[in-house]
Amino acid sequence: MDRKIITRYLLTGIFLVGSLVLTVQWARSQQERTSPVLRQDFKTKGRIEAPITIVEYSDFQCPACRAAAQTAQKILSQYPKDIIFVFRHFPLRGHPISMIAHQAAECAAEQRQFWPFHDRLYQDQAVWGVALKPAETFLQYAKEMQLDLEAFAACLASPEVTAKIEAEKEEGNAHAVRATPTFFIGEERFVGAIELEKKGIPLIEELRKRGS
Amino acid sequence: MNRFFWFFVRAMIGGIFIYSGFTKLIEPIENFRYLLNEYTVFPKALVPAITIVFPWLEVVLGVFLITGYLTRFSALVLTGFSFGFVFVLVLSRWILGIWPDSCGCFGESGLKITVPQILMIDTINVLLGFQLFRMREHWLTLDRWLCGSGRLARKQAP
Repeated sequence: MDRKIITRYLLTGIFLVGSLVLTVQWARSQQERTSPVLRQDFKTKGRIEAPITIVEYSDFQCPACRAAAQTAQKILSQYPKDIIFVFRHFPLRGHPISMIAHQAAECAAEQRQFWPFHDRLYQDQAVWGVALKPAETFLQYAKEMQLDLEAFAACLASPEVTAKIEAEKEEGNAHAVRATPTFFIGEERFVGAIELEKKGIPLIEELRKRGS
Repeated sequence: MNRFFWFFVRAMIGGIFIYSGFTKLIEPIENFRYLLNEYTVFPKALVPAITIVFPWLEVVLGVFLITGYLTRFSALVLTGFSFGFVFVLVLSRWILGIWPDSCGCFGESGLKITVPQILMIDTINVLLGFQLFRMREHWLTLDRWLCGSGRLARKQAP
């Protein structure tokens, strides 16, 4: 190839790659990157005055979320005064029974029993995940937890509860949550329990030192 | 007819890679890193680098293929990506016994494609992409324009 052609190639390549970089930068600048806002409800754990908030978007039928629940609990036990933990529903499309499990948990939350129900769902994930009639299994859990069964059953069939869960998922989508579990500490994002443990704990330490 | 078909093939393969790379680039990087970590065949030390470099390569080479800039080189590398992906999936499934929930090819947003579907798409990409690489001449390319058309282009197009 002669020099002229090589120069033309180089200039065209620079033009193409430069245009792409600018396009991607522009598209990125259009994306909203904010941290979820804490709303006080019965799906929080820890001191409400705690300076550090961890928000988790989770799916009850996701095995990685079950493992992450233990990591989150470990971190919460490690920093009981510093952290408030917030749960957000994010039932994945690929998990068919997940939605009704989230509905059941939301119904337990209405009776202030979200966390025991949450723990039970993760503990028995392999059981209800293959149940033919998962609603009956959840009613059984509610009975064992001595919840008001009539209210629980009515809540389980309520479209308002479904809408609430969908709204939380939509909020997650707006924050570019694509996989579960996704955690937020402030504006920092951690996808998966390993990231939370490896990078989240140093961040928590740093925030504690800064006193925020 | 033939040249239209191969132009369509270039647009299709390039388009798939542009979409795939672009969705990863505008998403938070942590999402793609998490998905790569699910494929345990990737060395953990390489995952951060792959997360940054790979989506850019997909977009840049996808655009190169469509515009016909370094056409054969772009076709060869993208064929290699498709082949590599088929290889990783097959390795994950049959040797390590892992079958990820989703391929994560499109950054988990927009298109939700199952692993068998993406295997099929990538296999087609490998076959057609390799044929693109083997072809010495392509229609509507920057290569022809940059080298000048006709015999010179045939000789000098990379």
